[in-house]
Formats: sequence, structure tokens, C-alpha cells
Amino acid sequence: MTILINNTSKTPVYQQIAVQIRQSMLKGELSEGEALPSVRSLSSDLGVSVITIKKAYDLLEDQGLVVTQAGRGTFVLEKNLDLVRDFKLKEIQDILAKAIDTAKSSGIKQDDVQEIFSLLWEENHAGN
Amino acid sequence: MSRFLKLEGQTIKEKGAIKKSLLILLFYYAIYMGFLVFFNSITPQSDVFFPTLSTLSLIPFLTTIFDDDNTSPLRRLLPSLPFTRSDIFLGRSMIKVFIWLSSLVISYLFSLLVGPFIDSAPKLPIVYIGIGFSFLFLTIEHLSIHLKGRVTTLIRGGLAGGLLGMSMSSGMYLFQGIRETFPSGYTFMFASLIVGILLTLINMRIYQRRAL
Amino acid sequence: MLEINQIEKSYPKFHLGPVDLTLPEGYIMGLVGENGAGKSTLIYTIMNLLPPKSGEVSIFGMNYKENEVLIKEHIGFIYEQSSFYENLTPSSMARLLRLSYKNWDDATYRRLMEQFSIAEKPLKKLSKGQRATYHFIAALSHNARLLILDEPTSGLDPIVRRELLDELRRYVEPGNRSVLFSTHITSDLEQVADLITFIHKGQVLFSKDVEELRESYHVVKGAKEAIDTLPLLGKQSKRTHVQGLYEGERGDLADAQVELEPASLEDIMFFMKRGDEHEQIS
Repeated sequence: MTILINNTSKTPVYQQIAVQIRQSMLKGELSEGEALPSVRSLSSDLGVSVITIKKAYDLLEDQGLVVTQAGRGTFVLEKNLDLVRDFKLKEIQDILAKAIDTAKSSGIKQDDVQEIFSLLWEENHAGN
Repeated sequence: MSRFLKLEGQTIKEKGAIKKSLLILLFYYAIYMGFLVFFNSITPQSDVFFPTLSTLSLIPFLTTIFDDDNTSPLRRLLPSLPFTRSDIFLGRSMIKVFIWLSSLVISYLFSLLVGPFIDSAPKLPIVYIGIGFSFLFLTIEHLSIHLKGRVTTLIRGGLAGGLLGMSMSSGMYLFQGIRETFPSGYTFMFASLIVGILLTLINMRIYQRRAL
Repeated sequence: MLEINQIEKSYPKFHLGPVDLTLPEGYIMGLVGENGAGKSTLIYTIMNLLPPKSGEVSIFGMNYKENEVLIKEHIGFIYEQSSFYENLTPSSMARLLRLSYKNWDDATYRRLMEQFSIAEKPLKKLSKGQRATYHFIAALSHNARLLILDEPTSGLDPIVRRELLDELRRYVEPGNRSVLFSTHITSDLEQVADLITFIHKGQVLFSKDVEELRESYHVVKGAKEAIDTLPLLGKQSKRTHVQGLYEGERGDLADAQVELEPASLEDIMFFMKRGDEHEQIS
């Protein structure tokens, strides 16, 4: 997981951290039940106060993405799966929208596109 | 307190203080002897030599072992280390007593050594007077535990000079006077020890209570 | 870990306190204030080098009266760069420290000595920076649970300072050690502090964590008319605008015709001082 913070940005650092961790989760880089880095190690690594890291983790907890167990750490919540799915669906939607755009602007018909879609889906399956 | 003594012992070792002290001691002795030989004026030596020398001998040790430069470890370093103020005071006092005993022995032997030449071998009353006088001197010097490093060094230097000077002039009268007042010398020694110890106890109370 | 209760100390021209302070395990607290504000006095009191007029200091749940040696065994202390024996070399001094502290950590000492390349010369012959670095290393090398540092970075060049501060953050990572760090170099605190206590003229004006601070103090800039109506802690008039320090939430000033910026520690100190002076004049 890569986290980059910008100290000069208007966005508070804790928010930047929370957002990036969230994106990591939605991209599937962090799996359910996986532990986030310890507050202290992340604090050392980013050069940021433990208070700030804790606040970022608290924010993620408020958003229902993680749960903190005293003495054990902070873990990615299972409910997360749905959000990942939603996120991916959105991604797919965007990609398809682009494809449709390209088709329409070049005068290609829906049937042709759907044929390509089915072929590719089969190929992909076979490849797997 | 034993841990503190170990620390001070190692400090002395690291500073090479013993060697340094002995060299300075020889130097002091040389000056004193030189003066006596040159002036050849103060006789008999037997009354003055040992008391003067035993007191003088303290100074090189006190100066080198406890030289503090600018840093005053007594006020800065040591109180922040894991020792109590009592440890520090008692430890230092013990070391000084040890220095004192060594001075007595060294100066006594030296007095005997040059005895044949300047009649300096002390008789028993003079030995007592020497013991008492040097002890008093030590306990007064020990009051400097409250002072800043530089000041203490200056004071010791002053005392050394004063002592040397006095021994070359009026010292004889001082010691003769003591001798006359306390013929056996024993009373003087006893009184000095008591006064010295009392002074040190007061010193200790002040040090334990004192702030930086 | 460290608790200060109603500490007061009186001098003819200066009064410290009453001061209340709590430093929990695992945190770095910066003690900040201008020169003469009382930081050193407070630190000396915490170290039991000065007896307080009243109040208590509790360290690791113990007090000095009963447990002085045990407490000091676990405290690492830096105050004044010249507190070690000047004529000794680092190795000599280290031998002495080893004898003094039961929990001497030689591995850390060697690692840091090498990392910072301290020359093996009598301490008084080292540069001011090397001496200060050496004191820092010594403080980090005996597994102290509480580090009390009085202006430990003054005299250090920015690079060494940054490296040492990094070491400091590394030092508290295990979670059972704390640091109290007094300085007037606010950028140092911005690099490592979790908690900030601000002392001004012997009084603690606030003791907050860095996120609370960021939310509570803002630099406000605007035209004279806009600024004058606001309750500010301190102001400064420039030719083209007026700026000041606001204590409260950002949202409070949403309607005002002003620019808001998060206040840095330096801003806070600066405006509070101005506010103070202004009050004295009026």
C-alpha cells in the first residue's frame, strides 16, 4: 500500500491518509479482516503524529470501513465487499460508457459491439 | 552509594588524576624544599614541616580529582544521574577522607626522609597537630561543594598559595602557638576532628536541601 | 507516565504556575514558549533539580521522595550541552555512563555513534553540534522510559536535527516510552510532536494534541473593517491587510469576509504574544 501525503495541501493530513487507505481497500489491495499498519509504525513511516494517524483510522471506522480492537489493531471490515463490488461496477460502467461512445461516434452498431463483448467474455473464461 | 563510588573511581581513572596529582605534588614539594634550602632561615623545622606539608599535600589531589572546568558536574551531571544527593555528598566525602589519609602518610614519610637534613622529622605532638590542622583544612575546603567549578578551582589555588606563603613566614608562629596552647597536641587533634565532623554534617544538610 | 500537579515556583521577578500537565506513555510532548517563559524552570522542577514551592511531580506513578534513584534510572536527560566532563573523550564518558545506568543499551549507542560519526576527541574539542549530538545519543542509549530534553537541538545544523528527530520518533515507536521536549524551535515540534504545551510568562496557555490544535487555531486575514469585529487572540496590522489569530472552529467564520489558514505553532506563539502585549498597553 502506498500512501503519499502532501503537507502543503489544504486537505488535512488525516483526511488524505483516510482517503488513500480507503482507495486501497476499494481497489482490493487490502482484504477483509486484514490488519492496517499499526498506528505507530505508520506514524514513523509517514513522519506524522500518532494523533493524526489515529484520527484517520477513527474516520475510517466512522465510515464503516474498519474496526479498531483495543490492543490488537485496526482491521478491514467484511461489509467492505459490497463497497468493492459497487466500486468495480462503477469502473466497469465508465469503461463501457467509453466503449459505447467510441462505437457511436464511429457509427458502429450495438449488435456488433455485443458480439465482441460475448467473444471476449468467452475468451477470458477459457483463459482462466 | 557503592555504585557512585565506582563511578567516581572510574572517573578518576579516566581523567588520569592520580598520576597528575602526584606530579603536581612533587612540584609543590620541590618548591617548598627549594625555598627552605634557599632561605635556610626557618629552624627548627620540626614544628612546622609536617603540619604544613600534610595540608599542602591535599591540594594537588583535590584540584585534579575534583577539577570541574566549566561544567560543574556536581550541579549539572551528577544530580541528574541515578544517585541521590546523599550518595553524592557521602561518596565525595569518603573520597576526600581517603585523600587526606594518603596525604598524611605521604607527608609523614617525606618528613622522615628529609629529616636528617632539615630536622623535619615530627615528634608525636606535631603529628597530632598536623592531623588536626589538615583535617580542619579539608572540611573547610569541602564547603566548596556548593560552588561553581571555576570558582572552586580559583579558591583552591588561592589556598595553596596562601598556605605556602604562610608556611614560609608566619606559619612557624602559628604552629608554635598551637603547640604552646596544646602541649600534647592530642587535644588539638581531637577538637579539630570534632569541629571538622560537625562542619561536614552541617554541610551535608545544606547540600541535601539545596537547589541548583 | 508523567503527571504534574499544581506545580508552583516563585522567584523575585518571576512566578511559574500553577502548572498541571499529563504526558501519557508513547507520546512526544513539545514544551514551547519564548525565552524566559519558564520552560527550563519547569523542566528542572520535573527533574528534581529544583524543589517546587508547592505541587507534585509524579513519574511512572512514583515520586522523588521515595524513589529518586529508580526514577532517574529510567529517565534520559539533556540539559545544557556542557553537562558532561569536558576533558574526557566520548568513549571515556560512555564508560562512566555505563556504570551509572543499569539498563545501558550498547547496541543503540554504537549504532548512533557510527551513524553520526562523532569524533573520538575530548568533548570540549568537539564542535558545538557534535557535542549536542553526543548528548542526544547518550540520552537515547540507556533504555530510558522518559526522555526529558531541554533545548536539545539548538546548535545543530538542520540535517543532523532532522535525523535526530527521526530517531526520537523511532524511539517512542514501541509505545512504552515518552518524550518531553522543550524548545523554541517550532519547526522541530511540527516534525515530531504529538502534544504541545505552550508556556507564556510562567503560565500554561494550553496543552493540546496536534489535531486539536489544527482545528482550534486559525490565522485570519482580511481588511481592517472585517477583522476588527472579530474576537481575536492577537492581531497584526499590515499595509494591505490585517491578520490575527482566531480560536474556535473554521465554520464560525464562514460568513465573514476573511481568509482562513491553519495556524502554525509559530503563528500561535506570535499572535498570542502580541495579544498579550496589547492587553498590557490598554
